[in-house]
Amino acid sequence: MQPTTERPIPDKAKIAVAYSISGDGKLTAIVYNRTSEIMVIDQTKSFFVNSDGTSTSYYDPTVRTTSTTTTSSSTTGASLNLGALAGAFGIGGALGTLASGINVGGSGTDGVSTTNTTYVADLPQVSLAPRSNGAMSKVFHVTGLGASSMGDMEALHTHLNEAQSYCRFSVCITYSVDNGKTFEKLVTDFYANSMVIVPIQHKGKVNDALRQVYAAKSDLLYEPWWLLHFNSNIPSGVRNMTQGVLFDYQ
Amino acid sequence: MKHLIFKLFLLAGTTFTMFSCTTSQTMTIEGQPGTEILTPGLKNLGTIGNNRKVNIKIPSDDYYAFLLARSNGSKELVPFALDYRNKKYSGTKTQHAVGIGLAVAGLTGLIPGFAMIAADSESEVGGYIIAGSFGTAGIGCAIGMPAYFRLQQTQYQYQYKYLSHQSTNEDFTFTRPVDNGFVRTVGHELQHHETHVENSEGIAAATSAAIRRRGKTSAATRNLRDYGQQVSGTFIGTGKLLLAGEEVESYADIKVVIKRVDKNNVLVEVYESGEPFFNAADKYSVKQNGKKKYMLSLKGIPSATISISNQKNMVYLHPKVNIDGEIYTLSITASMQE
Repeated sequence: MQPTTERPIPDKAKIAVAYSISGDGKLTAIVYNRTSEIMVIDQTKSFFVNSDGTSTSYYDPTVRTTSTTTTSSSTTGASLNLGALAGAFGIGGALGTLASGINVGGSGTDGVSTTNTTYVADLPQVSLAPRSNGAMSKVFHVTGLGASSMGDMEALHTHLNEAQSYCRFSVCITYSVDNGKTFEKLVTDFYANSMVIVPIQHKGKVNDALRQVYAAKSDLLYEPWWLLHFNSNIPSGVRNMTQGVLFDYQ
Repeated sequence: MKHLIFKLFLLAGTTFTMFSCTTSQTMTIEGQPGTEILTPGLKNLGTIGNNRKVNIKIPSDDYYAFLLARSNGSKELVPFALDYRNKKYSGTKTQHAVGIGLAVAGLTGLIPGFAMIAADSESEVGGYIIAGSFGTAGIGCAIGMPAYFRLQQTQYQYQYKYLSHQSTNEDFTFTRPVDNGFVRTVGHELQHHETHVENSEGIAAATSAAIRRRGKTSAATRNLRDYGQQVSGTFIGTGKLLLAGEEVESYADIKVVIKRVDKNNVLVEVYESGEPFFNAADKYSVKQNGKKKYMLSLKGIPSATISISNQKNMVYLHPKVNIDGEIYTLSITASMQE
């Protein structure tokens, strides 16, 4: 279950990961070290398992990739307040905004948002300083997610469970907080729980179709992550919007 | 010759103008007073006034499929799509063609003019022809160039225009989703609440049967036969857990969240002191049981029922709650939270 302001990430949690998905289905994982120790992330044992079953390691010496991330967070003792992000992470296009003001820490305080940029290279192991954060080195495209996956066919799947989902994927992050003596795994399983596609019945009456989407899925705007896409033939401009970030912790 | 040059500069200076031309479209957005209208990039375009309207401008070269509305005092951004109609912009195209025509005609006229000057440098006629040709070309540019730049803009290229009146979607009531995920407890394995396991296949089959592709959709309107909508909401109350008729636990803080799936089905989630009681939401079918009274039945376990009175009071009874192999009965009484 996603953490909320009423049920935040426990203070005892050592690691928290924020997963952001862009409008074109690209997944970015940002790891938060919630301990006062140096956290070592073993990228050779960290994986992304795509919805088509393919598994890719976060460490691939044959492919050079770089990623930059702008995160807004503040740490107040043991609590972590991810705060509100305005604008984009800067990877793969606009990623929408975080749920504004959500405090995923245990102290319940509203921290002042600060911006950190961390570059994580393609190395076998990466260290994170105490109470810091960093982006995993790769951005993966999730097959079946994103504007290009939605197509033109009508669809009305408003509440799918995991077994019924058209898109299931996982991320495994292997980390250590004792200088690499022992490693633990945080495995997060995701599944898409809805897809609603409504055709525009009367030419030009786009808002009518959007209202039908709202009527079919009235909890859309409060889902932890959602994508709204308008399929048009104009390549430029703004046609989609995403909102939300998914969290896991251990 | 001096007269010619003077005439040339006089006519060219007064007729030849060249500028880039971008336009914008003004439209009226209707909604609740105090609502901010924002682009998807969160640029504020205007705030709806007490007359429930605001005029906003969008550059013709910018394409937005939707804009965002943020109600007064709220943090939520609610998208509303921009309606449009096709428009051929024939006038602008005609203007562009006329401008090109005049410019070409003017430039063509330079040939005989310069020929005359070449033959007789004092030729008055040649001078006037050249000046007139430049003037015509200048007028053609002045007419054609703005039209040309306008036609490069997105609205003109794709031949559409937004409707002059648009509406926000603030009237929609958005509900909170039910989080069916596991509760991750730090330091322990994921906790499951054992419950009516035999129901899971029934739910899967019923849900997949309910998913269908509609050939036609219609605009959403309130429908009194939409039982799912009638019973949706949050109920607050108390409950107890019984084993063989004996109370083993009592709960002072129970919340039951009912969420519409479709007209005749809902998802039900039970919370005890803020924690989910079951590991997943249950699907119930809904039937009317008198005027504004409803009876909900759990798919696969017909003895598990929820009755809702016309006063929005609920009686929840689930006689097959499996906890660590024992079968308990969960009983809840609650009232709808307004």
